[in-house]
Amino acid sequence: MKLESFREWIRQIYATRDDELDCDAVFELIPKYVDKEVAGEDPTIDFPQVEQHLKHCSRCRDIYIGVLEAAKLEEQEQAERTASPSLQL
Amino acid sequence: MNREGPRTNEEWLADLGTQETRAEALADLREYLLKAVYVYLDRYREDLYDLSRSELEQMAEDFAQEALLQVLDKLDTFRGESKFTTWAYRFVINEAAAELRLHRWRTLSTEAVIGDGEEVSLLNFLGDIEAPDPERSVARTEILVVMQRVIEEDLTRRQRVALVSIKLRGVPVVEVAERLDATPNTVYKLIYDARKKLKEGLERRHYSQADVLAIFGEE
Repeated sequence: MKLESFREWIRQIYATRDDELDCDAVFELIPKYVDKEVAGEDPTIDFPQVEQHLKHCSRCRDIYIGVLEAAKLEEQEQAERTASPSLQL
Repeated sequence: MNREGPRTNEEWLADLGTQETRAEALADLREYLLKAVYVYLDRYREDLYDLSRSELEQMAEDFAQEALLQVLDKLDTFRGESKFTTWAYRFVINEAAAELRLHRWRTLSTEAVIGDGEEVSLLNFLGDIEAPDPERSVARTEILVVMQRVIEEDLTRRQRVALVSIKLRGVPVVEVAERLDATPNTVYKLIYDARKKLKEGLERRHYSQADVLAIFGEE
């Protein structure tokens, strides 16, 4: 383990809280969290515990990023179709 | 997709729930899920170099199909609190993520992946952490000894296995869950409890976060 990784681990240890959400709860909240982000809002305001969990859990973070990328692509494609109706499939 | 624009949440539910529109809605949803999978797989293309194009396509199709079944199974739990497609994406990403991570570790034995959780030396894992001066070297060792003691004496074997595998060996949660015959959520809870005990152990010895970070600061 590299020094910076160890320091990050120490931060995670001290950031441990009694009211953390588990993976199942975060899995349910990821869509709402992602929608806010895609809409240009700050999801951490409404869902601070999700942000906290994503810092600790690489699996949920991976799923969150995957969903976010898919939602952004959908949004981008929709914007392109709206701008150029002739491209409508 | 031959529609004028994207479906609203209500339209998705109505189309998936109506005999006449169901097939088209399923085909459209499948297309959304497939795109999501391809974006996801693209991020991990280096790990998938050994798969041919047709194998990758088959893999993506399988993930989309499996996710489609899960979406239909969970349809009555959708409350409309997010976009329907965003709600559906997590099923396919979850499916792909689990399979991909297992793909990487499948050939290794359980002991090679997670060890036996009995003998754990924190110092071995942190061997490359060199202190800039002797004083700080002693302080670092003291902290590591505190942490080592918590790991050995306060954690259960499963907490120890989960912590060491994930935090020190870098094994994915999904893989540890598989080897421990547990769900990823259970493994997260094991890690959470381990973190909590480490925090309590350090605080009991009056080490604040600032103290530890200063002692392990870069110079």
